[in-house]
Amino acid sequence: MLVQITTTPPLAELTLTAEQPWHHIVPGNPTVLLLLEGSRIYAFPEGTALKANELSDLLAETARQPPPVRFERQPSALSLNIAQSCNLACSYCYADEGRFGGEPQMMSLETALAAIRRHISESSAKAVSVGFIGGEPVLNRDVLHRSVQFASREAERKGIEITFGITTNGTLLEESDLKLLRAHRFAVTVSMDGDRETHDQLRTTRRGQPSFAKAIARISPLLTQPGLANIAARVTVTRRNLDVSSHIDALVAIGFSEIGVSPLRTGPDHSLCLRDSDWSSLLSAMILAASHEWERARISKLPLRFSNLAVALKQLHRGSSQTLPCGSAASYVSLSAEGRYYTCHRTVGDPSLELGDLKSGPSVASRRRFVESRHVENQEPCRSCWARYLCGGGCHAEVLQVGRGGCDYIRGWLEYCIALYPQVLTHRPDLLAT
Amino acid sequence: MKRATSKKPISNSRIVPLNLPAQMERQTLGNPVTTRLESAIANCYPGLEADIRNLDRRFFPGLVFSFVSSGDPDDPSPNGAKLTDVDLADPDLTSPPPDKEKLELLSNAISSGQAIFLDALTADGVRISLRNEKNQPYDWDVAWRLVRSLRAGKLSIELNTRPSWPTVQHFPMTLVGSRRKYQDESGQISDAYHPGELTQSLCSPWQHDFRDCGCSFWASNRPDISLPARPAAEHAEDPVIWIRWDRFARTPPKKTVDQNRPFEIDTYEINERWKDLPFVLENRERWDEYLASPEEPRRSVLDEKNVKGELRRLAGIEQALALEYLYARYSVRFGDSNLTPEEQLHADFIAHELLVIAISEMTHLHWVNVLLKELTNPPNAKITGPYRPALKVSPVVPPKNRKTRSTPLVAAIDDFIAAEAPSGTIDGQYAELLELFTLRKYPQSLIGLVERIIADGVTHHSRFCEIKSLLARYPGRLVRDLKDLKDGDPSYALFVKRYQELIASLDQAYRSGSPATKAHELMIGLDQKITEQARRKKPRAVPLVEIALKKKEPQKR
Repeated sequence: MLVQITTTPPLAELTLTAEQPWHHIVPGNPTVLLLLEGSRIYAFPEGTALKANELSDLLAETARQPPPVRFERQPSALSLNIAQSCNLACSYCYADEGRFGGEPQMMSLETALAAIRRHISESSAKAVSVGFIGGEPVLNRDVLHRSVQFASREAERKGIEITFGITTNGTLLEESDLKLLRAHRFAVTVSMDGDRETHDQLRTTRRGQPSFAKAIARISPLLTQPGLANIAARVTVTRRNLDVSSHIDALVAIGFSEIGVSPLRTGPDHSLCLRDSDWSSLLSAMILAASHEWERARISKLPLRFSNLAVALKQLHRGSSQTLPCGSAASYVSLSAEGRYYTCHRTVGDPSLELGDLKSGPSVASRRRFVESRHVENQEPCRSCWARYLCGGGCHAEVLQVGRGGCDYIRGWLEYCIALYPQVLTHRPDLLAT
Repeated sequence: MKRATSKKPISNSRIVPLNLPAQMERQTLGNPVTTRLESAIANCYPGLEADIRNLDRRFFPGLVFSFVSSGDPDDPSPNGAKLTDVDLADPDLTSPPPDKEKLELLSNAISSGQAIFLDALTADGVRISLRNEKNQPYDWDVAWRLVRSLRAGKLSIELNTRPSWPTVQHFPMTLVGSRRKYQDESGQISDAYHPGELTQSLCSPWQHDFRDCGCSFWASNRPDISLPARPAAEHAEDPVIWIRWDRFARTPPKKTVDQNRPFEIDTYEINERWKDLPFVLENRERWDEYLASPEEPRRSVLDEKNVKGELRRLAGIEQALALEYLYARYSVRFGDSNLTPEEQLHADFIAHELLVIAISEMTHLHWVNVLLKELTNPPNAKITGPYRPALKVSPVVPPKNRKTRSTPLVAAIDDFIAAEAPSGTIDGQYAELLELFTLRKYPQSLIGLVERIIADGVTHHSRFCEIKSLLARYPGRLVRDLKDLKDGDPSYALFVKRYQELIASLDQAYRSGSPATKAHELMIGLDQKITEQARRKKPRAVPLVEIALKKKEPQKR
């Protein structure tokens, strides 16, 4: 059930730093106009520009309303931190090697099953999802397997669809795990950082041993025979490995067909986090990688493998328009190993973002308070940014920790994708289908 | 229908909506595209989606005609375009209308029961009478055809009463105006037409007048002949005509209309039993619930074990085409100062294009060999046995395994276009390889090579089409007649030797993976010799294909 979220009272107390933009023009061929309301995209006729009076007429025609928040009374997505511990000790890990600042901890089977039971029985959605994260979730293999089986049975009994997710470093996957992933609709995200050299620099075991070879050996059989699973590689880009193109190439060579990258903003080793001076280099690297990828896709008629690009294009096509960056607290909550709900997996252990325990369930009031406070119209400088309904204001956990950085990077990337969109629409409309 | 939305639609028609929400919010002028005259099945018999006669009824702003017929050959007087209404509110009339008095007069005349007909039209200085040489009015269809043939623009019309007596005041009457512009630039039909007016005389397969329609022109959603509903074990594949009672084609049709009539649904029966006409899906009548047949699981048409053979075959075709294109090139009068400067320009252009395409085929030959070699070696070993360069000319080329032959450009150009046609011939065969490579997750570098070959094919095709149009523009001028060098001529044997050297050198380069520098030099030398032959006083062509086919590829090592 969706509940309309109102944006009072903090909104009323804020004064605008600048006039709120309701449109944005991206020069190119053709020049593209984005109307923020509904994320509508238009092209000007070739060789002409929008006249000033036309623009004011257009804007007079938009109602200037932010899109509604999709707030589910019972979140349809849940993640379980089944292992707050990890066999690797990646230098940039936000989760403090899985421990989230505390002691290593494993979720008990009782906690996992109780959370799943509540999640499925109370949800009014037709489809729910359950994610397994950590740490390295495979460390708690028994709970992982039994949770999936239990959740599948419960969902079937209720007659709703269920999908699963897992974020893993891949190094501990055994044949029985692969069997499990193949047999269910699993979105498998494997943390890989590019070629062997880069990967092994950043992703080592606690004893400093490299992990690349191990991860590849374990994940390759799944890449060859994925079954029902969908496998994607996720690259964490630190300020030492900004060459996005080479990461994509390296992971394609291994056999990944979906590769996403995300920049490191927070982490225990500050020397790896991107700084203000790095964002323009990352933007260039992203655009270079995307241009290569598009050129290849345009000629070859094959799918896009660079998922940042693929997803952005699909969202632009669909007119994705949101006042929040993700479903955190609105449609998604995360459960810590000890059985406490948080706004997402990134905020596990932060008492200010705790939403309740297993007994009470995630508090609707707390969730709503969080969502209202995080509404993009309540953020600065987001309120005065043309990209606010495409970006949603940036990852809550990161913003709360280190503030907003790299906004120019986000705008630059969006501008690149908006300018590319008409070409994709002309040459490869199939890439835009969802 | 407009969907409920909180967002306001954009009315600026200069900007083009791109993404889905922009398209959904677009406020379009005019009717949906499926109802536009240019996309409708619109004729006048009476038409399926629009009856075009209804446009012409209002061809002259302010007046409404009907195209009528007495149906009696002996009484043509009520035939033609009859004035049925005067519409002073017509939006295409200026206000006040220049001939306001005449229009009011006409309106009164109709009201008082006078029959007024269109007698003549004058447009572009030409007067067209709506009467034949015996001064009898044309029937409705001829009158309508004449109105239909008018262009939008200035026009004067003559109206007269029927029967016409010289004593009737004001008649014949002439009105000056213009033929209505039926649609504006955006496709919107003039507001003069009322909703439903264009479709008012339509019939449909569900209406009884269609029963006797003679045009055999059917709406695409209900074909008149389709396969019978299942189960129809015996006659499942025998087409059934919609109008027959027997929906399973068990009774064969009779020879004449009259004999068939008892087996057919009658006009009044259609009114009663229209619900008995089933929907047609996938060319079959359906009563039961329709379930789409499941999609075939995706699989490659090419088997992995055939890859080697397929690559060797494709290499042969690439070489064959390269030779055919090169041969055709020597029949072009490039660098010929006897041509006019314009012709010279085009001849040089054609020769250059042919060379570029031939080089591209040679590159493909190389790439196919790279594929063969890569797939022979670990870690990509998909092919058994050691790598042997594929340098044998294919005796046949696509489409339809046409014989490889040396043919001058003019005679060959259609074959070249056919060989490079997208989605059918060579690129289709590479597409099968690409599908297999992709499905089996072959290395990206190999997939990339196949993709590039496919992309090249498209440009070859468009280049050949351009060459064809240039040849047609200067018939016989841009090419020269060449006689083939005969086997037995002393220089023939020399060319055979040179060609074999060239292939041997390529063989070596492909095996070792080193640059084909020597082969390149040999090719340039050959090109010079062949050009010399073509420019001799008695010009000779060197039949490259036959020379290449003459001896088998040398087996070194």
